[in-house]
Amino acid sequence: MTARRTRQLTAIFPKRQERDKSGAAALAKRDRLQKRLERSLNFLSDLLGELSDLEVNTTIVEEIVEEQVIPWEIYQAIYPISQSYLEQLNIHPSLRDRYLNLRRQLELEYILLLSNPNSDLYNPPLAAHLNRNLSLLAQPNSDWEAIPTSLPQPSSAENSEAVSAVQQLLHDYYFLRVLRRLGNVKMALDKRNKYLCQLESELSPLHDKIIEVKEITYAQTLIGLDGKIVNRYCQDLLTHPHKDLILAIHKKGVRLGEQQWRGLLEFILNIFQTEKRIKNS
Amino acid sequence: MLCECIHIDRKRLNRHRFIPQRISFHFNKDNLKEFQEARAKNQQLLLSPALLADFRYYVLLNQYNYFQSGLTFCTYYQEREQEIAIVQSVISLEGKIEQQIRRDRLDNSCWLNSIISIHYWSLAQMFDQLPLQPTNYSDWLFWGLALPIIIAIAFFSFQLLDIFPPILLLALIVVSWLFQKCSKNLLLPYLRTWILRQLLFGIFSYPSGRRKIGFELLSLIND
Repeated sequence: MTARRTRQLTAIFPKRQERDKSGAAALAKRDRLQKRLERSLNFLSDLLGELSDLEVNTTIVEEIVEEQVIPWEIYQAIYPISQSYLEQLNIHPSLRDRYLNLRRQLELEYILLLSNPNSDLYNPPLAAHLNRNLSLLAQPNSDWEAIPTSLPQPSSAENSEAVSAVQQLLHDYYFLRVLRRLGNVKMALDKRNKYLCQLESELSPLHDKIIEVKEITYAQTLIGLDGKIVNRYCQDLLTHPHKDLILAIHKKGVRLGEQQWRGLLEFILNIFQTEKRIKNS
Repeated sequence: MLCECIHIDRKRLNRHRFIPQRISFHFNKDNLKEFQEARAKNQQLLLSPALLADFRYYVLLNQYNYFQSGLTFCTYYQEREQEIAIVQSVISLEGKIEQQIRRDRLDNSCWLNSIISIHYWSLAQMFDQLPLQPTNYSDWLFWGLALPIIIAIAFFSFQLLDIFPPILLLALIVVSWLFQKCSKNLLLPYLRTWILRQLLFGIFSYPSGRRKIGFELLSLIND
């Protein structure tokens, strides 16, 4: 009888433990979800604050491929940028300053995040320690490269501390946003670099093999909130055999794209019911 | 059905769950003609309820997922055995629109123009159906909540206290109106957050039928 009872108990007990565990896990999950939703709302207000231009790009590509952005890759690509690294990669000299700017901005944004109470990385003592670098980092032409970096190194696989530091960094919502922005700029720079390098190799008689440029953005339109419209065209468009067609497609894209973007924004604002708050403010 | 050639490409998150990743239009010689006719006749490209719910979910998730590049719409065309991506638009909430066109189709400008027109027309049709329809039922919803309480109070005062002065009736109406207003202002934000949360990660997040219920609830309390 007692033996049966203990058996029963042991049968029940682990179950109960499991239930507690799963209960705690569910609670933790709910907290996480709550946090994610709050961040989503944060994101929206940040986004509305940042809305500046509507940008429409028309690109002719060899093949349309699905692009997937991986934060880790962007971090790994921007972190090592330095004057010598760019030389090593044969980056076109006219673009090197802009690449270096990416690295400077990454460092700057990181230090700013350390003093942002909303961020997971919030660390006032460290921020106070690094704040003296801010003025140097804020100027594009300063000697900021001499400052030792405070960002965790991405490629040191044997150093688990650094890896977890990078992981923490890549889970921070604000840092990811910075990274995405810088990643977009870098992608555009990479394309431009490829194009310029190809041009040079065409000009030099030593290269008889022409590298095919996969994609060229022929037209770009920026529509500012103040109503200012800027059109930019790639120089090659002027001599392109399909100039009129590309221009017509771009024009259509601008007109319809703007409408659709507006619809998108209205839908999101309506769902989050921020419209009223914005109107009130 | 025209909307049969609109697909929502999904990524598998785990065994049971998929999240939408992009929207693709699949055209061939025949359905392209149908689309052109529909466009010429100013017909509407009606999305099926499940597709509309998935599309709304995709839009919602995309703005939440800050590492996706934007809403992606890609148009494919069937050529012999192969489907080829001709044009792709990526629209992000922060105001960046990318359109990509396949180079080797530029030579056939007339055809390219027509397929791009259909691409944009389909997109416009989808965006037209995106907004939640305002229902203005939320007032009724909260009156519905207030009513049982009013009836209970009225019953209590009539039956047990046996009083029925007109002033009490007036007080009841004022109290119920106030209750209705307060509950609306206090409860509504919580209700909305709850539905949104369930829609993004909870019970309404999968499959399409539940997403549809989630969005219907949202539009019910929208005003």
